[in-house]
Amino acid sequence: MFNIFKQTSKANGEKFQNIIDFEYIKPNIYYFDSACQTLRPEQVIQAQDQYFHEFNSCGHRVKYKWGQETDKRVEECRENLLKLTGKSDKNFVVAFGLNTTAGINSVLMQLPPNDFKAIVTSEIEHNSVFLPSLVYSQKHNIPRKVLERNVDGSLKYELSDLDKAIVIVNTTSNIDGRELLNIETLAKDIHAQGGILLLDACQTLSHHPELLHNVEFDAAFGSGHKMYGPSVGFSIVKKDLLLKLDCYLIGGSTVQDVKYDSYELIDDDVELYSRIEAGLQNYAGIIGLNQALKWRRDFKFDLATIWDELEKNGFSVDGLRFKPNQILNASQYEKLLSSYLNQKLNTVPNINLLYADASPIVSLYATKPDLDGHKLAMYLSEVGVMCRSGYHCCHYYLKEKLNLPPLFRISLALHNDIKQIDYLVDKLTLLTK
Amino acid sequence: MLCILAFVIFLLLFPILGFSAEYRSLFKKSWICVFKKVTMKPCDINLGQELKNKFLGKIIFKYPKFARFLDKTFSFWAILFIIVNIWSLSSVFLSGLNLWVYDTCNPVSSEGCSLSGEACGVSSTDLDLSTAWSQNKLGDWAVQPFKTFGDTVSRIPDRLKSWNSDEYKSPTATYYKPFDANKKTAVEFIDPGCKYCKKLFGNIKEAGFEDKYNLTYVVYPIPEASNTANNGYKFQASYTIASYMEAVKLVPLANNKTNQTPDWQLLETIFTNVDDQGVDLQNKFNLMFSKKDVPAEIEKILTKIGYSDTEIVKIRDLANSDQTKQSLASQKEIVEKKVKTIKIPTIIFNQRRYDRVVDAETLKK
Repeated sequence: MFNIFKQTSKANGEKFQNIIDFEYIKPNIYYFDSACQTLRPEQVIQAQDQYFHEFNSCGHRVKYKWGQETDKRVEECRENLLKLTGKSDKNFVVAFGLNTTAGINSVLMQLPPNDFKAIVTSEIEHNSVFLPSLVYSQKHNIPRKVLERNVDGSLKYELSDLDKAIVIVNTTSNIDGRELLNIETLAKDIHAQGGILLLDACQTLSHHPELLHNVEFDAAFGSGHKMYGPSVGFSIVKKDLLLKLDCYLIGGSTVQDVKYDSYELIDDDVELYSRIEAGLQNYAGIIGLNQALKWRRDFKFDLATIWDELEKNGFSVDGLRFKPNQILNASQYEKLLSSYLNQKLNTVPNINLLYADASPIVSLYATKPDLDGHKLAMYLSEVGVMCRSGYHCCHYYLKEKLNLPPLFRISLALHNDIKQIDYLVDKLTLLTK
Repeated sequence: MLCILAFVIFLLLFPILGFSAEYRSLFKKSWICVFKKVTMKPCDINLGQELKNKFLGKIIFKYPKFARFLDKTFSFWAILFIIVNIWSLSSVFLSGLNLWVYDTCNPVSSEGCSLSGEACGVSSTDLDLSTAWSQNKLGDWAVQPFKTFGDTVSRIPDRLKSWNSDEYKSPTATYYKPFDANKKTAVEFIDPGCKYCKKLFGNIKEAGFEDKYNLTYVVYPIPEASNTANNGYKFQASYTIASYMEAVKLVPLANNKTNQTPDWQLLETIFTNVDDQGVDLQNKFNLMFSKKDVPAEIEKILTKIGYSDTEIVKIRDLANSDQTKQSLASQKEIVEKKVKTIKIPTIIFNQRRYDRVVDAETLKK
């Protein structure tokens, strides 16, 4: 099979290290479930291995060399995550944990309810947001509002909805990749109304982290396993918010002193993350994530290597404004793949796309009877295509509100190429025609 | 329905795949689903659907029309498959039980079972569907398998009991060698026309079995109601030979050249004699002689044994007498009512019963 990742740059003969990092994927494997978790580049796997082989140790206040090496790399990961979202360590800290769901719960559930009048979320939320908002509302008897999203993904709201509200929403939908386009205005409006903004950013940080650069959020949550890293979660939280938390999820690594019947939480400015980072962390995972961030940052793809192929397939790059010999970064390459997939899917008969625009995450359903998403996924699995099916943890919106059948989801990542998309679409067409 | 199908399949495969954690999990899931169905609760596990899709996925890209047809009619095939599986499972169980009880998996026609030991089958009156339809006996046809099963179950005690050969001897029993009170008795149930009885006789001689036991026989021409050409017997000459064997017991052989009774001499001649062309005498009686010639051919043997013409006339009369018929009837009753064998030869010795040809090695022990 044609593998673009083995191509060198036509422009200068440079062989990009990052584009040969998925060579371990066996032929005839077509993985399209990166919205759940991405595949890991070889460099990430090696970084984890290096930790285990060379300095496998605890971090946090360790005085010996291995521990100091661990701490160094963990701190580097915190810095790189802040850079990814355009935030400064003056105002924000990064805390690690299990995953996005755990991060959301650890912050939200420790927020003092008396400071807020309402909790607001939107209808297209993953259960990792939808359910904690429901539980928080019920537990503290605070009104909960579930707002609609526009077709383009922006949130429909009135200022009155935001009055002293905890607003918790996703920035990119895991159903169809719609982005929270009015996020900057929303953040300003929330703060003007005395509320706070918590973001489920796990899909955005993989596909379009630049979306958060100018956003004054109070906390954003992500997962390393959706960003080419190991399974590790992280929360990027404003220091001010951390200090307000009513911390009860405490224990190891969270205190600076303990008496018989009292304790002192760590209040050192640079270690405030410890408020929501109790116990030993997945250091190998964090180190792997750090490598993944660097890997994505350095990703390069020479468009010239597939330009002829694109033209032969009648693919138009006009809307993308790419030049034939352009070197694409990660976001640009994903944009190319998304656009290519969108054009190809428009040729598939008897399907409905939930969101018509190009997106790295696409949900669809067949209009033929007796061909729901589960069937499509299972049939395609038999020819090596791995796609997700079901309600993608968005039961309320998809099942109850829209009354849709189980959906079929294609999600792209940097390991994919246009030949894989061709294969997927060809097989899908055979089933739906 | 699909999860029930899955449960049945996993149940069948469990002895093979039960060691795999994956299949144990699938088995558990299918059981939960079946349990919910049985207790009228909604089944929230899509196991059946998943298995169906997995199966269809393997063929849909190669044979899309066929796969879609299967998809639409899957429930029908699932029900059919379940019925066939239950039927085959019960057949396997029943065959196993029959094999253990009768030494044949098919008591109705034992020769049709390749797993059974060598023997001539005693056919029962198996009612086939067309006969049942024409004779308006569909009810009998329907209950026949249950009746057969009931018969098998009722015979289980026989399989477990200790067999005393003295209880099954013929009232006119004779012994291959002179009776020795110090030896135990062995009784074989034979049909002179059955090639396996001949084979057993050969094994007995090879093993020297007749020296260790007081060997006697019960003669039983195997009946076969449908075989009208043979007057209702499996082999054409069997009844006539049996009649002569009984008759000679009543006519002392004055000129006996051996210490054997004339009936044993007659039987041994039929079982062992082979002509110059290599054709054995039993085969000739079964296939080559006409029914009309059979008495004359038996009488030739009697002449060789030492009977005079006058004695042979007497034997002929006795062979056709009520006394002989009565004797054969009483032996038939032993076979059918007491021993209840469905395979000839059957032999009882050393408190065990064998419904087949017993090999020489076993007979030597």
